[in-house]
Amino acid sequence: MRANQSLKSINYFPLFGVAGIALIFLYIALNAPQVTQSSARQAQLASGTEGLLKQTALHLSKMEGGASVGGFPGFEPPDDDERYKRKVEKSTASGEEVNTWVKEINNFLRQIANKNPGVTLEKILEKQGLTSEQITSFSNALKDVHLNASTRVGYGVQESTAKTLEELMRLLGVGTW
Amino acid sequence: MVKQFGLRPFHRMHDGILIHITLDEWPADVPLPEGIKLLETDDGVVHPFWRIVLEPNRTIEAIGGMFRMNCSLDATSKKFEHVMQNVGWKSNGMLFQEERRTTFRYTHSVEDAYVEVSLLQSKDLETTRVTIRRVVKHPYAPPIAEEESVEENVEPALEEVAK
Repeated sequence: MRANQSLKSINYFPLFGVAGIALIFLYIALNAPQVTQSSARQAQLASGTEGLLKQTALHLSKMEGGASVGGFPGFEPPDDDERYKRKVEKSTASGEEVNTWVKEINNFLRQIANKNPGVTLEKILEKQGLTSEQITSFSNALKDVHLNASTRVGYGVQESTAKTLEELMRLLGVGTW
Repeated sequence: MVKQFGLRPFHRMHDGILIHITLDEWPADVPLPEGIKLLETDDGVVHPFWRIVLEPNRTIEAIGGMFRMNCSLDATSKKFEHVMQNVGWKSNGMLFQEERRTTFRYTHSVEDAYVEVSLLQSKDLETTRVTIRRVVKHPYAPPIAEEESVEENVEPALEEVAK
């Protein structure tokens, strides 16, 4: 009997062993694709795009009271400069300052568009791994900046700066109106 | 800016014109809640604008402005929800919501028009910046060129004479 029992347990062992290995493979299969998909997405982005997106988000945040834009970290003005801090946090920047800040955003957007010809901002942000809500947040920050610049045309913001922003938004598939 | 010799100053843009308007000229169909003020910056008050964009098959009329409310984002959004529904705009709800930012969209039942209200709460939670854009898209068909329309009318008449 004893011999039989021990034989049975020996017979069942490969079965449990196979099931165990199958479970391990299943676990890997369920978890691994997320990692590979994410890295594949990142790989599809033109080199340097990620950094440019972060810079764009940071500059958009500067014009959005330092709030987070599209899940990227918000802009933190230096603690020791109260005037600058107020400009950012209370949106009191002058027209000339807005013109400079929009020019900086234009510069980043142009580089993003050049590195990813024919690809919309939505697609680029999707490849970056942003959710659809974060993508909308990013696009809306850009629309707010566009409106901010439009209100200051002739009052510090040059028509050419507003025009460039509109052209880049159109090129990246972000509706201006 | 174009030389001031017209009825009022306006800016020539690459695709149309932009005119700054006063708060009195703000469209009545986008009512502003009580207590709202125009955004004040280091340059002074920022006036809303009226922009006409000319495209081959449509004319876009956009009105935009930046304001401030002395209350939280939640309180401001409730006030806007109330005033916008009173004038018949259909709410499409929040487009997104982040920690201190959100945007509401309203569409019109008849016209190809929408209003977007973006809210940004200050870090101290005391005030909310309000950015409003009201956009109306007017379809446009260019008039038939004079020569073409004359030819269309003349040809049948010539046929009549030949008979």
